[in-house]
Amino acid sequence: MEYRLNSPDVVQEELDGEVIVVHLVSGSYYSLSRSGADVWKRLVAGQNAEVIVDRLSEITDGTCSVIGPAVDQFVADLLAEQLLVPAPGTECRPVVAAASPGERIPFEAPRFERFTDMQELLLVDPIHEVAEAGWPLQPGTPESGAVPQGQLP
Amino acid sequence: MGSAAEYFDTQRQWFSQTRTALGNPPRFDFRVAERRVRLEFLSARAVPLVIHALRHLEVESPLGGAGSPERPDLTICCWDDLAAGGPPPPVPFPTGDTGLFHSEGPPRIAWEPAVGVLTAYDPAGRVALWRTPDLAHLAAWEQAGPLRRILHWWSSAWGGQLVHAAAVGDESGGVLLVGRGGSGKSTTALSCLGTQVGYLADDYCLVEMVEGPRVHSLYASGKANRGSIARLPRLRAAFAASTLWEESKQILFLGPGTGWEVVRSAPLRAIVLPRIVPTGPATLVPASQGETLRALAPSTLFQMPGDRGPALRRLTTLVQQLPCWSLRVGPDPDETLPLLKQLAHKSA
Repeated sequence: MEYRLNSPDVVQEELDGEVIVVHLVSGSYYSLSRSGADVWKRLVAGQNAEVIVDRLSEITDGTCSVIGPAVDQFVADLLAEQLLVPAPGTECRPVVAAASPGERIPFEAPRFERFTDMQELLLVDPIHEVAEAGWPLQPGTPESGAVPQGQLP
Repeated sequence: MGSAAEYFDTQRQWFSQTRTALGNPPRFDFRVAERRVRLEFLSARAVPLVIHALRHLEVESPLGGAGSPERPDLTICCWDDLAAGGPPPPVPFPTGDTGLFHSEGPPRIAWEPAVGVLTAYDPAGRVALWRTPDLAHLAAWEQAGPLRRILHWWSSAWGGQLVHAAAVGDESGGVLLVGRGGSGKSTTALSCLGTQVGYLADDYCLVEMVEGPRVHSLYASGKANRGSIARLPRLRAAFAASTLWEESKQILFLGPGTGWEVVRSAPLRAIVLPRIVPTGPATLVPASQGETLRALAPSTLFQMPGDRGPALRRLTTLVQQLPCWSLRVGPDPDETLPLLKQLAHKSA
């Protein structure tokens, strides 16, 4: 299964090896580094979990039996946080990964750190993104309760 | 009404026609980031509440003269239901009691049902609309930092970025202070008022990349709770004279006529994450870029609808271009002044 970023609700950027992911609706934001950042970048580039496990088994000292469940759990956690959504058949884009060290590196289970200290902001004052699908507006729309345009002075 | 664009145009035309019919209602021009912004009103009533925090950016003479275009970079039409004779025409957004409904557009339209505020921006026409139920009852936070959403949309259009951050420094160099509410941004920034460090902002400011990162002051105001005011003896009397409150914070207006100078713009030299600590001296230690972006980006993005992907990119670029520091602020914020001055005047 391939996945994609849950855009536009989620935005992300990478700097200095750390990926910062912001869920604009839930108010949570996330930090991913090292293995977590590497697997995340592969997932949002369209690599499926099987390809990622194969690649990690080549460059780390982990075995598929260890790496597979760790990656599956990571993907499940990202889906639960609604940071990714399934996108079967997504074309895989090139991944900019750290240079291979030449020898296998210790396997580290991918993970993320979640921050919820800003959620209060959105609970008090949530932002609802709406499409223009509601236009054209029918006169007398009951939900607004406001005066029609023609009655303005 | 056929579309969001027609809705915008109808409101805009109504405003223009009404303004013309009224003769010469007041307007207020200010300059930020070398760009001119014009506020147009339908009456003089309550105008001071809107422009109080912008007075330090005011430009006296209107545009014009040979070879000079008459048109500002942004015109904001400001009016209230009293002038319009009723609430704004309905927008086809879902109903709700809380929060803000935002349509990306163009034109961008935001509607806050609980407070009845309509905000809209047409980037092609360089015109924004801001309609509120009663200008005379403008919320304290809006008086301290008016028109934030419009300035965010407008600046995004030319690569600027409104940030939830404080800023200190002077024309030769400045420092951005970032962190969530309560981290010590305001206390640290306000402690620079009336000192050799200089003050630009305590809550929101504008950054852009022009031959390097630059910060622009937007609002000549400052906010502090009782705990912060106790740490700011220079400002205690000024705060005591203020009658404007935003929840537990007292608002102080600065700039022209107040005796408190506000620096308009500064090249940025560093980003600092202040942290109030109960004891110990002020100290600076390096901060990671990730830590800094986490302190800057979420609180900015969560408060500003629209263009949030590009906004995160701009904030990331900003963090990548500047040294980042953590600052422990002890009981005496004045101890931070030499540290901030050193950072502000250090070559990037």
